[in-house]
Amino acid sequence: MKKVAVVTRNHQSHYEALRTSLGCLLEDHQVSYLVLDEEIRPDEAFTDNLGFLEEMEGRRYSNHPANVEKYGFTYMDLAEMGELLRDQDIIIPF
Amino acid sequence: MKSSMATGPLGIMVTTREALDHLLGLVEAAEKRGVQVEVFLSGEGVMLTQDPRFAQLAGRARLALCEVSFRAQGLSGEVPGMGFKDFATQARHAAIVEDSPHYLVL
Amino acid sequence: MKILHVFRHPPDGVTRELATILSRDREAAEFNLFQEPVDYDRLLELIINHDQVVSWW
Repeated sequence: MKKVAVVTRNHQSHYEALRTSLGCLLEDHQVSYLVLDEEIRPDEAFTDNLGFLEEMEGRRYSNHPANVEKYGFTYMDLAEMGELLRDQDIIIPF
Repeated sequence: MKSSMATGPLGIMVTTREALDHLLGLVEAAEKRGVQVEVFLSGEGVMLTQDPRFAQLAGRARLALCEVSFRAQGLSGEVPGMGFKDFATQARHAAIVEDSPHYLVL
Repeated sequence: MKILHVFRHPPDGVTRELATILSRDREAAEFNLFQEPVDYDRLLELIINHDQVVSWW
């Protein structure tokens, strides 16, 4: 088991980064999914996978207020994200 | 965390379509040092398979891709250096994360 | 703890801030993958000799 953070900062990568996060959760890694700066635009599959992330105890963080208010992300500013990343084994900028 | 001189496979996750030069360069460098390379293509990274130069990697690195991404990019057919089982899921990438003391994203 | 930052593109403010936080109190090195020609032997050497590699956007 490793601590893995998947970090995405453009909307073209949000969904792929989430899928990679889920794959790591299935292999028992401890996963944090970080979305920087942009609001996610979830379709049905994206919403389903966000639910799976939560069910599998994956964490999700964002510095965008809409992701916190509408999609259940925990707010974290950039500096706090940096501190979280310090504690990871694997960082995947997606 | 691994020790600074750990040996073992270099895991490479490819998520972008511009990474082939870097991948070829790293695989060549790894060959010279006797380092095994495990590659997983995901998202737009699967587009590397459409470059004729991708075939140069066959037999030199362990190659796999995300089949969902492959289909999502409108791709089909065989890929040099990859068998049926190498059209895989994100779990394959997660295994690379677990098993690779060295890990890089391209 | 030795950390290697690999920059696939010139780092902007966000990337630079995160990399700076990760480097704090650690031995850190940087490799600019966007600068041609790329010395892949050198890059591999750095990867192998660091505890963690972060390949930024």
